[in-house]
This record gives sequence, structure tokens and C-alpha cells, in this order.
Amino acid sequence: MPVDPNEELARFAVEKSYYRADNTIRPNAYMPDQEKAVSVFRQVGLSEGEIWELGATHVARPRNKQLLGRAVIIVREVLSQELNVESVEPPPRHANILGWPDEHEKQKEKALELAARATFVRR
Amino acid sequence: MTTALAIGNFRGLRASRGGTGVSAASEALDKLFVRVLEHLSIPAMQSEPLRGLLANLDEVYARCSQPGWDGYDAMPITEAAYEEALELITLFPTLCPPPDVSPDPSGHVSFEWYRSPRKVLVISVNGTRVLTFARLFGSRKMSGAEPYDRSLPQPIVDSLARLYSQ
Repeated sequence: MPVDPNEELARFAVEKSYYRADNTIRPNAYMPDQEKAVSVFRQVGLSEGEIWELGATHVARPRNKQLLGRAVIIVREVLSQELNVESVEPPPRHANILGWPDEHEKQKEKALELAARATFVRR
Repeated sequence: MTTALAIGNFRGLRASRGGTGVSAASEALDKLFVRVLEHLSIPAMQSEPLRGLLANLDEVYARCSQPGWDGYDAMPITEAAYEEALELITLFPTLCPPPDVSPDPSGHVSFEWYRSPRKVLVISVNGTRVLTFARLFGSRKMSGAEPYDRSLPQPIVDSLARLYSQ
């Protein structure tokens, strides 16, 4: 299923430093890994319960971690930072945010902007 | 004196260490200066906020020193990154609030001075003696990478002064 610019992406948090006490997102939540990808899940059409189950099944339980919440951002906000979103399944509904620059500081600059545009949903 | 000016002065004091003089008097003065700096840094490192920061750094290192600590494919925080972060803390100006410490999926240790989602400065190290930084002030972004030694690079000092000047 192609990714729609208006759909929402969930970045599930099992790491407490990914969000602040005031329920805002820290930029490290959107920093890419060594493959230069940020792993997200497409939550369109799912109920709250189904979204949490998606995170628990594919992120928290495999690592034996507790699901703490999720950062939610609309695809078009990602695209506005000259990044792109690619559906990569399995697992179901999984996608990657790609197109990151090589330099750590440039990645952080984009991550700061994504974090400022995202909202945090505490579990 | 404003906080912004004081932050700038602190950096200036550290950066001026090690003059060009070669006389015995100059050498003695330099040694005295080093002792003054050491004396100044002791209470700072023993202060409650910085002890809290050190404890948080220890906790981050303990929690994130294995791959995949974020539930995805995060790289571990290495001992070299942890050690460099420890050293970096001693360079922070004591006149602005201590930052929050957090791990990056790239294995960097980051320090964040945060006032709001659009008023934030983050600096990061990973054990390579190169400090990377990024800031967001309103809609204006800036980032860079700087080697450093005995003081914070000027763009960091300037950013902190700006962050806490209003």
C-alpha cells in the first residue's frame, strides 16, 4: 500500500529518553540507526488498542521491554524535511524514514525539526 | 551582569589558559591559573545539579551499552563515548542550567539544553573528540561539527548565551 502524505506514522518508544517530562519528543527519537533509517509503523485505520498491540508485538516484546508511548507525525511533515517514507514489510505496517544526510549534525538538525512537529502519546 | 554575558566570560577564562610567555614568572602565573581553574571546577562538579547529571550519564551508559537498546537497531553507547561525555561535562558553563543527557541510536551521547520544542540546543560526542551540535531557535536551524580540547567551541557558547539571554 503506497504511503499517503496525510497518514500518521507511529514511532514506538521503549526508551524513556525519547520523550521529555512535558510530553514532548526528544530529537534522539528520530535519529537514524546505522542503516540510516528510522523505523516507524503506519497507524492509519487502526483503533488505539490495535496501535498499541502493533507496538507491543513488533517492538517491545521482542526486546523484552516495556512500551512507554509513541511519537506520532504526519507523513507530509517528514517529506517537508527532504526525507522520504518507504513501506517496508514485514512486519505488517512497518515503514522506514529514509534519505538522511551522512553527517550526524545534519541528521540531528532534521531530527530536531521532526521532534518539534510530532506529538507524544503516553501509554 | 546578565547570564548570557557570564556564560561568555566563563568560556573566555578557560580559553585564555596557557599564555605565550616563556619567563619563570609567566610559567608560575600559568601554573597558578591552572590551580585557580581546578579550584573553580571542584565545587561545580560537586554541586547538586551536576551530580545529578553525572548520575544520569551513568544510568544512560548502563541502560544503553548493548545494541538495540531502543527496541530497534540502535548502536551501543561505547566506553569511549561515555568517557568523553564525562570529560565534556567539566567544560559546561556553571551559570546555565545543566543539560539533560540522552543516548542516540548512532551510539552518541547527547546533552540537551531545552526551553521549548523550538528553543533547544543539542551537542553530542561518540569518543572521537569531535563534538557535533544542532540547534533550533524558532524556525531557524544551525548545526556543525567541531574538534575541541580544553574549552567548548565558540558556536556552543554563543548558542547557550542566546538560549538563556531571554
